[in-house]
Amino acid sequence: MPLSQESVVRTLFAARHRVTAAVWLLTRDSGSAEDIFQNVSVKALSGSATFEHEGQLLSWAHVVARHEALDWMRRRRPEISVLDEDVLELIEREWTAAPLISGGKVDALRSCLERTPPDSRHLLELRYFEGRSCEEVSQILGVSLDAVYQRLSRLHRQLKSCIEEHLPPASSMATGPAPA
Amino acid sequence: MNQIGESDTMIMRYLDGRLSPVEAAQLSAELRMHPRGRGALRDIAEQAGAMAELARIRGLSPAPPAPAVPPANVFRTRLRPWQAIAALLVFGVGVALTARWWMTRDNRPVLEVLSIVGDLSWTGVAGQQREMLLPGERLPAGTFATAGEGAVARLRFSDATSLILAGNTRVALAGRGQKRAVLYGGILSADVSPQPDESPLIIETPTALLEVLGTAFFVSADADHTTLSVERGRVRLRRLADGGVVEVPAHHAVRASFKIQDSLRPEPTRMPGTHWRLELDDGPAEGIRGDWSGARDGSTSHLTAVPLLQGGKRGSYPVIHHGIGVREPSRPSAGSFVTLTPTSAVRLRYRVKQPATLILFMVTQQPGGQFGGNYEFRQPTSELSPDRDGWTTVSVPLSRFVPLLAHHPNHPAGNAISYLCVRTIDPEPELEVSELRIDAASP
Repeated sequence: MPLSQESVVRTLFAARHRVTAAVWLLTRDSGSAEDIFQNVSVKALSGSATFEHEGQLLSWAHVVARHEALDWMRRRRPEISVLDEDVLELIEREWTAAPLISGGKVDALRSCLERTPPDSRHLLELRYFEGRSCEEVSQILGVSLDAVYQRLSRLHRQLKSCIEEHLPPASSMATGPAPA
Repeated sequence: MNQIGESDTMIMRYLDGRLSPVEAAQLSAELRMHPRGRGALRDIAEQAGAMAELARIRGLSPAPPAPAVPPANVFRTRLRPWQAIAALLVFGVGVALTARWWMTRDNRPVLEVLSIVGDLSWTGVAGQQREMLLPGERLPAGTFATAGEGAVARLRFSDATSLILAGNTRVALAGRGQKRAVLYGGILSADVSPQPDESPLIIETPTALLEVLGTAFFVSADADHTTLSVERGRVRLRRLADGGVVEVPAHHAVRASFKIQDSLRPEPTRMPGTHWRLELDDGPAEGIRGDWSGARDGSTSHLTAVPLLQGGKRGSYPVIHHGIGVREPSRPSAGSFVTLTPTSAVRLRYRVKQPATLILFMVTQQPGGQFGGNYEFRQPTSELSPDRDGWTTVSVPLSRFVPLLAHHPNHPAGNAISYLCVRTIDPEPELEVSELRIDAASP
């Protein structure tokens, strides 16, 4: 039986971070990632495609998002190189296979950013909140471009560890104490 | 894969839109082969998206995309002849000096990092330091350190000899020619490929010297004790206090300390029983982490949470949780103290001063002492109802625990626990534990 509209909306909402992240890997622009996700959602709800289960919907959403992102890149930023399409497919398959963690990641990230030292937080805000290129960040901070790359790389690893610490393992939540 | 640093930089340059088509193809080739790199990309993309969402919530609008910066072009300059000769001379001297430096400072990698849970760092013989190492990295001789009770790192020499460092462990490793290790403290298990008779693997601890020709074993050490358990083959142990020597055969264990009157006779290793209880009435035993309070004024004996190093960093500071931890290092069963069965359950009586996420965490060993996996259970304390004194009793079946390493079995039945921890992330709940036991239901 095909998924209802409500199920489609709920599934896409739960997976929105993942789908927009996949688009961002191509466009490297959060605004376009959000726009493309909205386009994909509209297409999913338009009735032109039906989905028998959530996995099928998520695979479809990733494929459609990838094609839209590649079109966007060809039109807007043809000079910027992208990864080979089979690698992008592989990354999307790994995303689709991983369990969805409903909610919590943004809150976990917020908490982790609050604990990040001010200079590191400033670097992240310049790059991801304000969307500046690494070259602009290096000029603002007065450090080399390589230093920006290395610091960002380390900060991302630290954030990953912090976020994982705040999120439960996928299936650990008990519904109540077992009989003693 | 290239050195991790180079691949990290390529990934960041790709995300910055600064790779040439050739470089993008190279990165694609690497990502095609290495899931670790693909995982890193996914993590960065999810974090970037989450930060963009936070920015929208805060009402910040991103700056317009910067114009694309094409990759740097290679350019040429023309040198006058005398400048070219001078440049060649400088280059030649530089090469000679570099070669001499290279030969006298053996920086060739001897170990590969296979997998990590938690934090692994390396200090080279010349004082170079690397933190938060990643799987796939190859490193020269130096000191490796895992941080955090749940930390686990797997390393491998080029001859396939593999090592597992667990918990808070610090070990110096060298592998050119005869392999040597100095275990300053912590837990090391090893699966050693056959070594030449004249150059066994040597492991030094504060209290013992081990010679290993080809075997699988487990050793834990601190400043006062060394416990050796052999799963396969034979290991010769020399007690440093008096030079006493013993050969430990397979399925046997021995403990060496500075007490020369203690027997050095190997004992058969046995899996511990399936029932265990934390004894608190007579004060804290060796291996227990937590502040002990005796029974008084009608209250029961209990342990109060203390800071526990978790490994990893928050910014530049180590990650510290708060709880109680249990080890029983004097056990002959390679330090494990209870065997898990499919019907095992962890029973806990605890109290907190404010709601928190309660985390039960266990490190397990396979029969014979090899690392068996880390497992965890989490539950918000707000989901349970305490009694009128604020104590809550909960029984968590083994089936509720999940592995923290993807390749470990879903349930550790058949393994034995070597470390058990009850903790919260923050100190404010002031966790107290008055009962901790593991029972197995009769079939």
